[in-house]
Amino acid sequence: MSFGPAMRRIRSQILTLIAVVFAATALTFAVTEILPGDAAVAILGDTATEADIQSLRQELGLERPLVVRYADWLGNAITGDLGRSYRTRESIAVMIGQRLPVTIELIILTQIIALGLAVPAGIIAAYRNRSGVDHALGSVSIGLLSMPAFVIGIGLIYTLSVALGWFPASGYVRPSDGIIANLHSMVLPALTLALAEFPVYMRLLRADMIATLQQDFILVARAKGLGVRDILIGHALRPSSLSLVTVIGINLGRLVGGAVIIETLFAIPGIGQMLVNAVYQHDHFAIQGVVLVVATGFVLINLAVDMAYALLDPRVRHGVDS
Amino acid sequence: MASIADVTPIARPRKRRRIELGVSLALLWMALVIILAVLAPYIGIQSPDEGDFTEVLSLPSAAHWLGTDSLGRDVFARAIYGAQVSLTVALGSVGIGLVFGGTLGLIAGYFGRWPDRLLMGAMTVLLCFPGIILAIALVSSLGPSVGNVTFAIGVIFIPAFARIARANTLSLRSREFVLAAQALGARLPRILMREILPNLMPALLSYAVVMLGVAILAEAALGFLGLSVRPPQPSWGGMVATERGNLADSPHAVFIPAAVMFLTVLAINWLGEAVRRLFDIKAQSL
Repeated sequence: MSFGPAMRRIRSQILTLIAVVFAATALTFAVTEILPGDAAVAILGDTATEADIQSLRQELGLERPLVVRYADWLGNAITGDLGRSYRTRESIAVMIGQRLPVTIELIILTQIIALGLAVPAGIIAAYRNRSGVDHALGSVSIGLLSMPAFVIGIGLIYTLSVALGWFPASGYVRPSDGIIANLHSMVLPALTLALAEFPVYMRLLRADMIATLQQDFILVARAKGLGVRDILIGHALRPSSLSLVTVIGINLGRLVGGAVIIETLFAIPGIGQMLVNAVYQHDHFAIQGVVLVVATGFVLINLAVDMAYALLDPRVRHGVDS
Repeated sequence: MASIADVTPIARPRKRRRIELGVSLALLWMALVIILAVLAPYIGIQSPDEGDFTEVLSLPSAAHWLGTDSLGRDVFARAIYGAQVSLTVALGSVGIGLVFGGTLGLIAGYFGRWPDRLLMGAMTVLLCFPGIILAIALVSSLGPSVGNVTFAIGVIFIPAFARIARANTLSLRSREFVLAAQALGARLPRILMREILPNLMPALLSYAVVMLGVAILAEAALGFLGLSVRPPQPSWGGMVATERGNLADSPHAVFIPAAVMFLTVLAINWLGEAVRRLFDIKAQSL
């Protein structure tokens, strides 16, 4: 068994993705630079004197050229120092350290719910292709795709929280205050994001599954007299899940984007909410820090996806052209 | 496309009729929204900005077809003026994505080598940057306005259009008719614009239809964060966001604008599916 081609691909991926992190942070640095009213004005407010603003600009190092400041930031970032918030003087690394687990929890719960709904739905829709069930699931997905996540969220708040009172409408309970209460506060946000992702996963799995079910080895399995369940889950699911696995990886960016909206809607203190606040408050280093974390996360997830390919598809593992 | 219909005349006539009913309903709805949005200033619709404080959060009635919001403003009028914003942003941003993304993808796919690596590397960076975050950063730096929102959403659409154009160009550039044009000494612009581009259009346009809906949703998300048009100018996302506090007492003030947006995006997605079916023979024969 040779891991040669797979390793080569992973090595070149690492190089590309380092470039991605580098470029993404440089891009943010440039974009935050054009935010109106520089940080010194934002911190001191409109009533500050020109002299105060000048001295704060000196203190923050805003007088230096953009490239120098980026190089400076990058050098510090490599050693784990992401700077301090212009606003609260809090360490960005500490802020992210507190908030990142919340967003990770939200994203993991989202993926569990989304896949928990989409995998069975995709299998059934493919197996009963063109039946009433398939059309119903198709209609549900196109309906969900036609709503912004915050409308799905407001709909869930109205039904499950306002009308039925099952879940809190907003707010976050830390796991240290009780794991059950924590999960209870995360159900609505995670379900909201999951319903937004569900159609993407369901349709993808359905399409791949329909193609797989037409292949000869499924016919063989059927001829051997295997049950429907064995054929669908034991034989067809694994070869049908390649695109799904890719998209789950790529989707991380989309989910972080969704988390920005959903954390704002449900008042969840994750990095999405931190980012929105940082943008409102012109807190450049906070924006930079969140982008660095998101881009790095994206890199690592995609590496993991590439390795998962090898597990799912023996042809990739052995370097055979498909 | 007529040939496909000819070859499979027995392709479930009942089902085809049903699809056409859906498509015509979608077209009808879009026509209604577009006509009302375009003609809004001329057909005596109430002012979207002036509130009647004696009628706050009222239910739909003869005087206010879709009710009023928490400032007593007519929701029907606001929904129509909001449609102007949504439709302008959708057409503009998809146009930006289509023109710039299509051009970059065509160049990358046709020339290969370093232009390809350079352009697609840049696209990968843009793609992995959560789109809404880039849009938030751009709009908050440029200021909330229809033009800036259009620009921000258009920029985040470029990579996807570029990828589609590139992938299709790759499969087209060594086809016989392109080789024939090259052999006949056709100039580069002619090969790109007259031979390859027309063949890219089905894929790009059917994607563009779907992206119109995505653009409306993205504008709504920005509006929800307070980063679309400035109040009191109405936008669908902004309307939902401002009435969110009254969800328990007056859900209609939240759900009516949400429903208008939903039906519009649903109609676009429905048309997108129809266009995709029209162009995608493989899916049709599946």
